[in-house]
Amino acid sequence: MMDKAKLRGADLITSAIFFLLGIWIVAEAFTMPLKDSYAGVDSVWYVSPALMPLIIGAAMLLLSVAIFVHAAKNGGLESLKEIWKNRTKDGLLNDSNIRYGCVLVPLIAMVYLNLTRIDFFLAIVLYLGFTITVFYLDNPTIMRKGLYLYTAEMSLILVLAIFGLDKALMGLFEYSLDIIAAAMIIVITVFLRIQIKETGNPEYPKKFRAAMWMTYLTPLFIVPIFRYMLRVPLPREGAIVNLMSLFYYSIR
Amino acid sequence: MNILQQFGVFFSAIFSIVTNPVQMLILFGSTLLGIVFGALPGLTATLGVALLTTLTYGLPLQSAMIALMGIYVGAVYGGSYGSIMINIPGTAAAAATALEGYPMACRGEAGRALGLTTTVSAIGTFVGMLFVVVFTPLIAALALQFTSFEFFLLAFFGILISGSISCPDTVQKGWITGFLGLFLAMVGRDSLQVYPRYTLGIMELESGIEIVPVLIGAFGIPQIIQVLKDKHSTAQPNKLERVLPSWGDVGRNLKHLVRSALIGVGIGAVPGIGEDIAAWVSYGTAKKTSKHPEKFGTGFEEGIVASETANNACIGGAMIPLLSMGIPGSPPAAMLLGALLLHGVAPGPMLEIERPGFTIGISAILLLASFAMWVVGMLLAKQVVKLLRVPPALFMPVVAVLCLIGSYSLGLKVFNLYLMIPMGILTYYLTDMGYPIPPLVIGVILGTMADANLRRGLMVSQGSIAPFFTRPVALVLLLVIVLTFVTNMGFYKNLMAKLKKGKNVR
Repeated sequence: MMDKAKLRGADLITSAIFFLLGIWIVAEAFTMPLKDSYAGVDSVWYVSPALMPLIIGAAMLLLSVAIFVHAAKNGGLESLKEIWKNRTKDGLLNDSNIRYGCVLVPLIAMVYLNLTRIDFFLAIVLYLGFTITVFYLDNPTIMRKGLYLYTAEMSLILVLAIFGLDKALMGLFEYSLDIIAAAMIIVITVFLRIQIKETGNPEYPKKFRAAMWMTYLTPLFIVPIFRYMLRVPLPREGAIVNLMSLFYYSIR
Repeated sequence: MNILQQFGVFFSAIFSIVTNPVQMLILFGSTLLGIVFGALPGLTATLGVALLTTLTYGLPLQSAMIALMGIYVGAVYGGSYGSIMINIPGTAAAAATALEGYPMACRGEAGRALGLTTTVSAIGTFVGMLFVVVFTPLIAALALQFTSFEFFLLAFFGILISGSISCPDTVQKGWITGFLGLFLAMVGRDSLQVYPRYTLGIMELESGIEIVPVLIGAFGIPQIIQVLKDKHSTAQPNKLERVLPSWGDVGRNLKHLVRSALIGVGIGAVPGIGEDIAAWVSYGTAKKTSKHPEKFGTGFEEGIVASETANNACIGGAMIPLLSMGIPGSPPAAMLLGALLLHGVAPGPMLEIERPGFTIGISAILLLASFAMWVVGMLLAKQVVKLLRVPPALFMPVVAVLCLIGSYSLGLKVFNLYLMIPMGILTYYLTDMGYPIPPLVIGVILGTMADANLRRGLMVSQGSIAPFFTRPVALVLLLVIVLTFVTNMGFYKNLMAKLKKGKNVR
């Protein structure tokens, strides 16, 4: 939890957000059938689907006001001014935010971009290869440069998705996105390896090897467990998963 | 069922598990996995139960329950390894243990501390199990008399009390997250008129928000963000020679053990309050009532007995409202509820009617899990301690992948993942700003029940709210809600402070 001095400033913001949410909940509730007929059924106020949302919305409005008042009384405004003043001090791309980006960018990219487009095995390797390595090495420079490269790679997939080129490419060759993903994995791995060499830290190559083992062993266990033992069809079964299936069904 | 029949069911359940090698393997395997989960800083009991829920989905109900109870019991106990050996609690429930366990380990008594922890945790779980056997049928029988009004008030009470106790900052924050959870439960078509609420025109939201992905998002993702974002250094564990059962220590602390077990069960039975609060309350009580309060914090066995007995006894306590009313007593119990629903079991007062012997079966599993925990703890402590050297950066991203594939595999819906990530980010920020997550989860779980029962009750009474005041149980619940609300208000606290001051002056 953040420290109390900052907390009251943050409370002002969160209470305002909750207040707006409360208003939206109530406003939406008023668009629901209250006393009139819906789907041929005459409604009364106590059967209305709006009843509970109205209670929730009203409670959220009251509680958000209470949090706001408490924060304002306990130095919230001063704290907010302080937060605002300090916002540009470290810059947006400070080490802490880069670290945060290294957690979120790969996770968001995997869920919203890769899982439905790229072979599941490769999507996991793409995520783990980057995340495990940068956090295990824990070197701010490598983390920063790695994140820039990873974001650039994901931007390419995003562009393909926005313009519908992913489907066009897959129409040409089923595994074309998998090939692109594999190329991305190679690029990021080589890039990280070069960065490690440049630092000259004797511990890093060992850590890199451990990270790579973890990266490739994980999908080697997860894919068979979910695909063949639990019989879960994976979000996208591309080149590698199909190859595994071919192998599995041929020996079965 | 009379008492003899209950004994029969209990022992036949134990016999059927003990004589089934596969189930014994599942029991010991899941308990060991739980201990590992609890020991590794960053992984929690809730996360363990969540991940295993997805893996046990295809198993028969009894095997799935063995696995889930095993990991739950193991993880709550496993948290003490990190506390004792490296002064980093593996789980929040073991934070109080670190205050006494680590100084003991520094004195070269790590084996004794772990032995004591293992034994009192097993006893705590056993006491919790006894309470499940005795109280669940009683409360379920009482709940059978409940009408829609009582169920609505009960859901409301669950959110309010969970918000009041689990909030690290002002109580209003706990309540507002409870209401946020209730709101999330409103999303989708309502159960009475099938009217789409807050679906924003998104087809996938019409069936509502699925509980398990929300739970995994709320408990798993913030944990992953937190652990990776904060720099975690791996400490070198203290030397561990032999783990001894410490029966002598247990005998000397019998009084504390009984009191701590009762505290654990009591706190566990309160909706949404987890093992961490049970451990801290018990530790605080032990310190207050001890003849040697000055020894606390220096590696005093009474402290370990207090926190470790309470956090494991809390498991049984948390199972009581879960099985008797469908209201989870702790965050891992909330995950268990999700798992039970996935297996087609609806916990609540009708449970024993629909599935006679289910509660007794769960108690038998709890007993065996505590035994397995003790055996694994005694035999494999040295090996588990070695795992404390593994840095979180190596396994947390793997846990993230397991959360994603687990969440997806339950309904084969990628949309669940689309919801899980914002849910995780939201709960991460809420936690950071002092908003507790258990009330939110309780809200999501109880929202549908609260909504349907309020409207159903009012339909029966033709819109009259009189039953809230004329039905004895409803009135009691209403008074408790008002009391919870009033006692947490600033004016009441000021008034009490003034009265206390006046008394002292006189």
